[in-house]
Amino acid sequence: MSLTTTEKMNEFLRMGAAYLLMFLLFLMSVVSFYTPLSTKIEVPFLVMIIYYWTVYRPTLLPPVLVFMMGACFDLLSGLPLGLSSAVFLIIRHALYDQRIFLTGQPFMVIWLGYIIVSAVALFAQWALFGLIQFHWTPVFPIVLMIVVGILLFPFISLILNGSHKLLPELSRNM
Amino acid sequence: MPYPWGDTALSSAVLVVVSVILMGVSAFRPATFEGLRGSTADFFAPIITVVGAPFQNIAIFFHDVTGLAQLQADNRRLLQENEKLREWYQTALLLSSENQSLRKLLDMPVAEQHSHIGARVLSDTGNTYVKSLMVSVGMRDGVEKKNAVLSGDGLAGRIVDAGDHTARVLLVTDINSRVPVVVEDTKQHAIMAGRNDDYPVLIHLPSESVITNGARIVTSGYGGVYPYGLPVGRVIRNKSKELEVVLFSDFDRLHFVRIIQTHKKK
Repeated sequence: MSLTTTEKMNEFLRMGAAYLLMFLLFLMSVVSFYTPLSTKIEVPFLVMIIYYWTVYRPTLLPPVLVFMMGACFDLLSGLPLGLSSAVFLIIRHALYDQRIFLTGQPFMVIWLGYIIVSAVALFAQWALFGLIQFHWTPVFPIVLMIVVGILLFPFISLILNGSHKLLPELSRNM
Repeated sequence: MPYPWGDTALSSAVLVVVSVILMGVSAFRPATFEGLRGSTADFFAPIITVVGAPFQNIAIFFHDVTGLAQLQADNRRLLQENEKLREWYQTALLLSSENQSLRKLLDMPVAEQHSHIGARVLSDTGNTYVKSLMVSVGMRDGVEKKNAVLSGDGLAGRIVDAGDHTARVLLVTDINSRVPVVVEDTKQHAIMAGRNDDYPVLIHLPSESVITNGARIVTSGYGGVYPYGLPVGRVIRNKSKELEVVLFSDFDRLHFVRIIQTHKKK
């Protein structure tokens, strides 16, 4: 059954909202935030996006988009090009096989899954950077970033869930 | 409906291989992607500015509220300093003119003249791995790679990527930053190396060198990237007996910078 122009427009806008939110979170991952005490905090929004959409709607975030997102992040933040792309693609691929188990689970299990994925992704990024630079950067900021991500994940997943509900049913879980 | 971009293990594997190749090229030939970095920064800069503005304003608001009393004290101190500096300015003008005349007499080339261009910090694009800033000027404004960058207080870093309208500043705290410096009182030369934390260290110092705690260091001008005499910071010996540098620049509150452009005098 073919869709009418209005229905197509409706689907386009719904998909657009999810991508717009993703783009916003991508930009927020590039800029730094300062707490009132002048401490700089980094939030792994990209890991959250990849985790959430790979589990709930992998078609929305195909490998090529993950690659582009990682490459743009590397280009903007001055990291060696390809570093984040490689880590994110491997994480996505590993998660893809687990998503059937994860989709039916309560939020606590999803959260636990995120903790493992973010720790693996951020430590892998740290290790790769160290190998490329022949210099190990301090581990504490990585641990801090993981903790901040764990604390913020419920709020971010709530927002992502809002955009998920907007997505057209036709392509759900494809 | 099948996704038009494909979602197979093969496409993932191919892209991982591409990423690894890019990573290798980026690691061994970093200059390869300079143009691409500049263009990407140019493209994203307006959106990043809009997205980052509310957070920057919130940070400024908290800083202003918590620092009101400090501001008043600073203002009084600065007014007094300003009076003294006016006197010093006149002295400096006199000495500069005398210095140039004497150099001419000795037939030495007159030192390179520097001009500077002001720029707004668009965003702090640094992270755990790379300490950098994005600024609002680029090649069209005359900014070039390796131009030194100053905050209001001292040396901040150098330009590493320049797009048409934006540029990326590698801060002196980054692990890839090496600044030739000189200790002002003893004239001892050293290299200041970033470590991705707040305090760079002095390296390549002779073992017999004696440097007092709190000694002021400035750029030595060696290597030609940083002009001579830019204020950098003060030396402090840490618990591990390393010579750390407490920088004059405060990168957490950096909203504007000055980029030094070098022009050879004709």
